[in-house]
Amino acid sequence: MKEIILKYAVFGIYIIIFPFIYIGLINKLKNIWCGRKGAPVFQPFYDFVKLIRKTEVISSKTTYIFFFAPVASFVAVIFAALVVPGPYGISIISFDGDYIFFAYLLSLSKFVSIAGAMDTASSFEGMGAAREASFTSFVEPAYMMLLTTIVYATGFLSFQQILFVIQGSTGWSFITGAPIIVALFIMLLSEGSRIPLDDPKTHLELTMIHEVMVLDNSGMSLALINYTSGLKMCVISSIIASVLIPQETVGYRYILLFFAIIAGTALIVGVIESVFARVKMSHVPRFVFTMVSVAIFVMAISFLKIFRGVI
Amino acid sequence: MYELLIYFPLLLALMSIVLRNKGFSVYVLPVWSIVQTVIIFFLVFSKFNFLYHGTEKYFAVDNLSGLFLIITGFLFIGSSFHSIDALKERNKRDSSFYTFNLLVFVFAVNALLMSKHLGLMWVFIEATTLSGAMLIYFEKKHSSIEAAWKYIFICSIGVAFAFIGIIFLSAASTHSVDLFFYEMNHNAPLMNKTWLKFGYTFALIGFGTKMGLAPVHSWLPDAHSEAVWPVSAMLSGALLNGAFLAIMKLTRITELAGIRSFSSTLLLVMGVLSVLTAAVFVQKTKNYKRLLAYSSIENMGILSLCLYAGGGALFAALIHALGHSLTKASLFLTTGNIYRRYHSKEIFNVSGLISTDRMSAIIWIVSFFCIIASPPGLLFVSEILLFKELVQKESYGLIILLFVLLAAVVYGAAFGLLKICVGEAPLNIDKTRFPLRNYIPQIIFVSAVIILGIYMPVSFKSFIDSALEVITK
Amino acid sequence: MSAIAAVLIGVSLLYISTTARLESYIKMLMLQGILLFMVAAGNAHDISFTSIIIIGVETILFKSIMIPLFLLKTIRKNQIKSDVESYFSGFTSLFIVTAILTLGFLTAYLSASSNAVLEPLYFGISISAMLTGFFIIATRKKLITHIMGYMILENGIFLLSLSAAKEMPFIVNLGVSMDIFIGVFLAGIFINRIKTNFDQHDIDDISRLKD
Repeated sequence: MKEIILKYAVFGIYIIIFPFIYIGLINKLKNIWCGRKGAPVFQPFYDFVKLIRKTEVISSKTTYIFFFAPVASFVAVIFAALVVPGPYGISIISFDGDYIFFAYLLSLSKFVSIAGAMDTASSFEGMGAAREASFTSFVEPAYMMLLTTIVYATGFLSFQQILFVIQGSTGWSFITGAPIIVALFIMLLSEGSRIPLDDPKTHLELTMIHEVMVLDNSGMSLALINYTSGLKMCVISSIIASVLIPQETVGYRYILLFFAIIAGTALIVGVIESVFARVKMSHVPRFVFTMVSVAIFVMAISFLKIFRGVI
Repeated sequence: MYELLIYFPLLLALMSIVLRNKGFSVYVLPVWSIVQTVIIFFLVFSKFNFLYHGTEKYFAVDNLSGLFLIITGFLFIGSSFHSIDALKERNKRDSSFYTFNLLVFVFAVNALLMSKHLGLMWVFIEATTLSGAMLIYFEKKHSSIEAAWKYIFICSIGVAFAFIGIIFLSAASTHSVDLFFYEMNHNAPLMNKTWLKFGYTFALIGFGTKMGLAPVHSWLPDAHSEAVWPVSAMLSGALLNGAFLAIMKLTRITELAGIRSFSSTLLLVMGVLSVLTAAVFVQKTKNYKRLLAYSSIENMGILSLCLYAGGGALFAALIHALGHSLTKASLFLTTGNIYRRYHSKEIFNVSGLISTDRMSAIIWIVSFFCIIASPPGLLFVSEILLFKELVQKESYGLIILLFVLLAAVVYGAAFGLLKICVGEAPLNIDKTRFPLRNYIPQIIFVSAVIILGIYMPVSFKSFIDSALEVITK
Repeated sequence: MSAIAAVLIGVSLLYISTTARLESYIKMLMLQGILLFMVAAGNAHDISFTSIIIIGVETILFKSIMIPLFLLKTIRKNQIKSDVESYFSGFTSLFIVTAILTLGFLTAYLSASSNAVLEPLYFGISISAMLTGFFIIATRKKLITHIMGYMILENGIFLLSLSAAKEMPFIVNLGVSMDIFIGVFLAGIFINRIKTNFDQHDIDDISRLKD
């Protein structure tokens, strides 16, 4: 009983605090890279608190959709986080086919945020919504291809089990690990709207993708949106962590390794943001399509295992 | 003793690049070429066993490689005498550079002809590509850069194909570990047929690129037309033969493995395509050196068809290779005389050769009749033997097709090559005679071809037969 | 470990197909050289000091250091603009290379059925690498990218020779490496000459010789 409570407690702390730290780490690293001291790692949390205490300005032209969109998006991502194996290597909710559930929760979150943006009837936000929808449309087929291949190769149907198999060090799981991580990392960058797909720090509406969609949000809903985007990245990083951690690791070592890997991905994102420029707007779909290619690559490798048993 | 043929050219090449002495660079070529030919004759014909290194690990001289070595040796003599005039107006830097590359080229050809290991043979074939590229570039004009680039790039990729084929061959031979020819011949019946077919196909495409077989011939006309004339002769007479040797040895393996019909089909396709390509392009081309290059493609096609027919046609293949090399070398060396007089490679800028340079014109016309395989020449004998073999195989369709295509080649070649001999010469052409060294090699080559065509000594025949034993027994 | 390196070579092919900068090509060539070293060292029959040195010379020294640096020098010296000019958009290229990867693995899949003489994973990736090399040569305009495509092709061939699991004699391996290096070196020299003579790098410029 005590153990279960502890487990839930760790998970709760992870889900509440880590999204802020994640974004904080990225910003800190970027600042240090530029030679600045940078805001404290917890700055996103302070911002969150500050935003919550403010009153919200809501355009009189919007409907209830605008009001509910950030909340719905937030709830969808929270559920997605519950499905993915957390710091203990086990998910809070786990059932057969939950990887599809996960995909649709992410889609739902994207859908409601697009709907919310459209609801403002602002031309900028409409543009941003269109970009977000078209540019990231390749993520979902790639994700499904990747996960279906893995499911087919491993024979298990839930996140917790298939990731456990991948953690093993048999030939196939070992070989496919590298491209899977590459694909997931591209997914992380595109879902989190980071460089090189989208620049979260841009100040020109015309060049924004994700940021332009939340121009009209303020106060509580903006706080939720910021938190949600951090949580999304955290969740995908935790899939990466679950792929990377060796099967034999248990107990506190697992937790430490897990948090270390998540922090590591945050730092890598920071490095990428520091050294790379954003790609041309017209090249964004190509970048996202790389994920499809990598997924097909994983599928091709897995075919050798499934049908020939040679790996 | 065979080591001399490998190390000595390299040593002389290094000396020429280190010394940077024009006299050395120019005169080392004829001297070494004669010495080399003498060494080759000793190696091939000497009855003393101590000269006959059959047991060396990587290199050996058997009668087959001996035949090709002799051809190379003779061509090199001709080329090096012509090089004296080719280098006449060059500074010492260019001369030493030329000599370096030509000697490296000769080294590579010698080594490739003597290689007993397929991988090693590949290395030297690629080495001929590299040294040849610098020789094609020698004139430093736009067109020569372009030709050199095409040559090095297409050939490198083609030869890379051949390496893929070699890897497949090594995958096919599950019993032997190494790619020595005798070992592969020995293990051929045990080879995995599928991989052997893949390997042979890739190797044929790859070495076929070097040999100038269509449809992978596209470097050949550019390279032959842009190279300096002694180099064109070497490319056409020595390089193409080297690649042909590799293809012959590989075809032998397929025969022993029992998939000769497969390799024959490929050879047939490439052979007919080559003759067809030559027949089409010979009509179009306006450049006499390119025309000769297309004629080379045609003759390589015939060699490939000889290999396809097998049996008695293999004998034809060897004498055809000999005859083609000597005749084509004579033609290419004569283009040097023409080019230096008219300063143009275009057929329509050259006319009246017979009145400006009678000797060249006679050599040119006689060589022309030899290269189109008209009766007194050796090529006539070889083509008759090929047709005889085809009649025995009852492939009459192929015979008719070949007759038509060869007639087309003869028509196009005659139109272009004979045109430059007749007509009125332009007024400003210098009519002074060149030194005799510009005529003697061609005269020797052509007369050898004609004499062998009229009367083939028994000893020569038995030598060719013994060379054939390498790939038939 | 060597299997992961081989798979990463496959991923690097994808990156090469989508990137639009020459420097990225060079980085990927360097990376491929290192990865090939890992594959070769992992598969060496005898892990002796000399064999590692030989493999290192073939892969790290030639493929990963000398050739990329030489190409970089050629780019700098001739002030070649750093974007890869292609007949296809990056998106189409990526799509085609993905198809090539699938095709390569399909071949490996078919070959794995009969008594497998070639290691299927390496075989699939090497086929993909060779085809990608051809693809780069066929669809990129600049001559320098043709050399890079040729190097990708050669890397594929190297991987193929590893998949056959039969080692050639040392002298042959060394000769092959030397040939490739000198080939690239000469091609680079020709590019310098073309720059001085033509003042352009388009493939269109070297198509004057024809019938």
